[in-house]
Amino acid sequence: MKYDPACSSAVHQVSRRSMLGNMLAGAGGIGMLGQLVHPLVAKEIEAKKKQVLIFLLNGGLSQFESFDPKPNTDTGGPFRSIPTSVPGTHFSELMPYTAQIADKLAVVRSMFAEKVPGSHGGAREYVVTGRPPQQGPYPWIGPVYSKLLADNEDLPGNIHITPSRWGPRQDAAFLGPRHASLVLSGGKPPLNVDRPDLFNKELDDTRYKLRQIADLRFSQRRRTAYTEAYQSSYDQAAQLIRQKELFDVTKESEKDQLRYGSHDVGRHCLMARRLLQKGVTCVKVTHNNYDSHMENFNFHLEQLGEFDQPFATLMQDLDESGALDHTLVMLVTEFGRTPVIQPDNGRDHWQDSWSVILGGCGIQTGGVLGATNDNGTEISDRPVHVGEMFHTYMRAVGLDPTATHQVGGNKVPIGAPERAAVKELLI
Amino acid sequence: MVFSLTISSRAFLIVAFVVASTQSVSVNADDVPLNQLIDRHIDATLAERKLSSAEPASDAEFMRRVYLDLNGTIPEPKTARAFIKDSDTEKRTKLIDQLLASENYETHMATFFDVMLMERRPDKYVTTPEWRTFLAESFGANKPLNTLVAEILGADGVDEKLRPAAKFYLDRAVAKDVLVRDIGRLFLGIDLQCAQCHDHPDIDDYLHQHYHGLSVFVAGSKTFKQPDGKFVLQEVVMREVEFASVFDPETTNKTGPRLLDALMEIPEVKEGEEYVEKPSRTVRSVLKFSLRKLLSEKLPSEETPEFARAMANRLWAMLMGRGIVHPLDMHHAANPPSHPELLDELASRLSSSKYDVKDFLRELALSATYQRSSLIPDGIDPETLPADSFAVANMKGLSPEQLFESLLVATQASAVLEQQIDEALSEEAAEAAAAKTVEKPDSEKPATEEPDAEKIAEARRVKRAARVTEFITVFGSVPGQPEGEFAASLPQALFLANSETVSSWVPAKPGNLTERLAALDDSGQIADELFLSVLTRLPGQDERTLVKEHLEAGKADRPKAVAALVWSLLASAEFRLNH
Repeated sequence: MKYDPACSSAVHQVSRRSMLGNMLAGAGGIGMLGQLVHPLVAKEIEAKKKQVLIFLLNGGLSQFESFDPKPNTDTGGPFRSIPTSVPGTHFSELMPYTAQIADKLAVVRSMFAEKVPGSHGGAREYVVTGRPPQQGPYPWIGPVYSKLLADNEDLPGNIHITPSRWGPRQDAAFLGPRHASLVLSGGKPPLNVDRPDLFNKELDDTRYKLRQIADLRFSQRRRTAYTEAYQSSYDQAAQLIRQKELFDVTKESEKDQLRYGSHDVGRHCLMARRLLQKGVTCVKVTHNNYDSHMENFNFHLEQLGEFDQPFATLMQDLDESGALDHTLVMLVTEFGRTPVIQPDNGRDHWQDSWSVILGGCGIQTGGVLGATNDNGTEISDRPVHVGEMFHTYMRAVGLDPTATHQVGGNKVPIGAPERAAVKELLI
Repeated sequence: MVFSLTISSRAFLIVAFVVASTQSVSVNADDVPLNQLIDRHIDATLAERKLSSAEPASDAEFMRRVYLDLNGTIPEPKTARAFIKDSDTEKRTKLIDQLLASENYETHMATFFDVMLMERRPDKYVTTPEWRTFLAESFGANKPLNTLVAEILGADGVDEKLRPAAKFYLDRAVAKDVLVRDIGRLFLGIDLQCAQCHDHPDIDDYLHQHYHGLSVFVAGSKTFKQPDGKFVLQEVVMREVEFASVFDPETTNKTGPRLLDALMEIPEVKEGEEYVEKPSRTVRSVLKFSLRKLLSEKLPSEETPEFARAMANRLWAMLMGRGIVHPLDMHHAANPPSHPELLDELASRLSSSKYDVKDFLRELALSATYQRSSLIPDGIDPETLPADSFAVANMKGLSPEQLFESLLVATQASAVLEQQIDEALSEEAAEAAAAKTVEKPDSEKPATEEPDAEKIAEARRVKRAARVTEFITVFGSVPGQPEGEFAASLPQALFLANSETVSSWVPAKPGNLTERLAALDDSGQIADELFLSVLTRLPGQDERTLVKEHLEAGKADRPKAVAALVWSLLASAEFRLNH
């Protein structure tokens, strides 16, 4: 008898383990990653503040048209594959710029997850929380970094640049709104960041000062948990309003604006660079429209045509400035796309195998982990579960995913306790 | 000691009984008003734990709290001033009675129960205004809470009068698993979600059969689209469900309808004779014996003691800032009530009073426990006064609705808001008229319609609701999840600091607070009015001095200087919290 649990519990840690255990036991072999040792000294990494850059390609990037091309097979589609800066590794020809920086990346070609309820939203949540959504709500990875790496900072710890009107609401779950994504909708500054006309600069300082005096008086002899959080939200707001130019991408050089391109994702990547330079701990950039049930090839031609260059440019800039040494980069998507090409040239959702890209801080780059078979219909080497990747994202920046969040009186494991990091990907 | 509850074999009741016996407070419960009984229990535990408690709240502190808790908003300054001055020793009791009789009580309770029962889900088949009106009328008439819940659980959406009550089912799309979980959480105080596929792994009391026993009641219910397009509920035959643990899939179990351990007997009906209306595509199927009706009779009743406990605990938490069982949907042996005997008393009083909500809230509000200050006694470490001791009033965040209404009262911006709404409406009307002119030549233009007063009122209501929705988006919980504890976020601070909605009420405008204050000469008078209007209290000497100094520094533009003062108090923790 089968159940489709409607539950959404933070303590649901049952089942499925046995199923996956069997699959993982059968998987052997390590890619070529083990042979490439990054020259960085661990101590140097420790010294710098860790930052994270997340790219989320919404809709489901096709692995065939990106990082796991299968040209000249029944499933491969019309595009060719091209060599990359890593000898022996090929990408789709839709990613010529990214191909040139492949040595700065680790490619995982064998991601998989079980089907979960909620289609795109559910699968996406699985990828960014490491837990099936019906067990949640768990905090998304950005809020987790904000909590663990930037708890006491004035700058928001977690900024989300999106072409959409809204980001996910309250993605911080039990970590609290302090760590929820600050959403830059359309790449524009957050809402309500402009002072009302009434309060000029001087009077603005005065009103915050008066407010603080009122709070100090009130919080004497009262429980401080609420009042401290409240005060800190205004400190953040005042900071942000003063640093509004943080969000002004036109302050970047004209040359850079040209290099990144005038389309949204170009501007958003440049914004991401700016925010990271200014010290924001976690920046997420989303790019939409990969859900190619029809016209998969045209869609990917168009979307990756936009994405490829600014992504590679940003990676290059981070590398040249030395920021990659302390910045973890990940490029994720909620699932891959079917090997079978539909009659109207579409590819449907596919959770049996897809590709994920990592780079920067703590990552063994310049290699490929895992593989799919000749026509990409199944994983042939080193399956990597989404839950394992969540642990890996934590380990890469020196966090321990087996530690716990304090939630009220309860301890909630940071990563799904039945999973562990993918050692082959870590330095 | 009176135990009106049936002592069942359920583990948590036994534990409750044992704990209660050892802490027994010698009280003859029947003769004592509930408010005194509450204080005896709370104080006995404080004495036992050697905890000191806060002073009684000042009149001002009490007034602000009880206004927010019973009417959903802060009082106007002249009301506050009169209350503080009033020397009547019965004034607190009178205020409580006045607030319970007010129309604001109905709307506040409707909002509170809407948020509790629907958790800000988007509307599906029953609109929020219809539903809120139904709830407001119920609380206004002081409909017994068990009757209200029976109406909700028994609703089919057909009967026009009770149609809004069907929102609970219909707007959850009559999805069985969502309903089982929410009926358990909201009406029994028991979150059974982890018992869907097996006995609860961490909570011994929550069994797999509890989940499925509850599911039998709603498993046969579905939506039905009437010819007029309206969605209602229909029901097909369901007598029992089969279930098997994921840990032991070979062993199939069966259960009929059960409310936790109580298995319900259902009448035998001959096969083929179950229906009044047989299921078909065009007709709503109706059973002779409805399990939903059975649920509505058995759950909110003496036969299910968990109901009264869960309801008493929720109403307690509404006023006291925390449940006696906390979280509110975690009634089980390993999470015992902070005051087991008191919870039994509250539940028994609630049911013996025929679920009289007003009476119950009145007694809570009359207790010294409720009327304690949120100020921690001098020299006491706050960490030594746990929230579940109720030694100090627990602070609560204002709900988005409370915040909206209180901001409006504090800034005295009702007229400003009305004008904003009317301007927006006439702009829209002008745009619509312009669009019509483009579409049709003059000859075909309809004669100008007389503005319909009802339509205008409705348009205004919609616009106002949209303003409240802005607050809900920024300050409310995620749709489908319960309101959590108070939490402050950056977008919230930015909203209160800079949003058009808030900042347009602050600067001097006809009739609003800033304009009124700026017209006054004496800084002491300004300080008094300011603090009474925004914080429902008079300022301290330090605060009067601060106001004076600030006004002197800003005398070049007094309205602006006053606006900064008004804003600073609106944005303070003292305003944001119900303390």
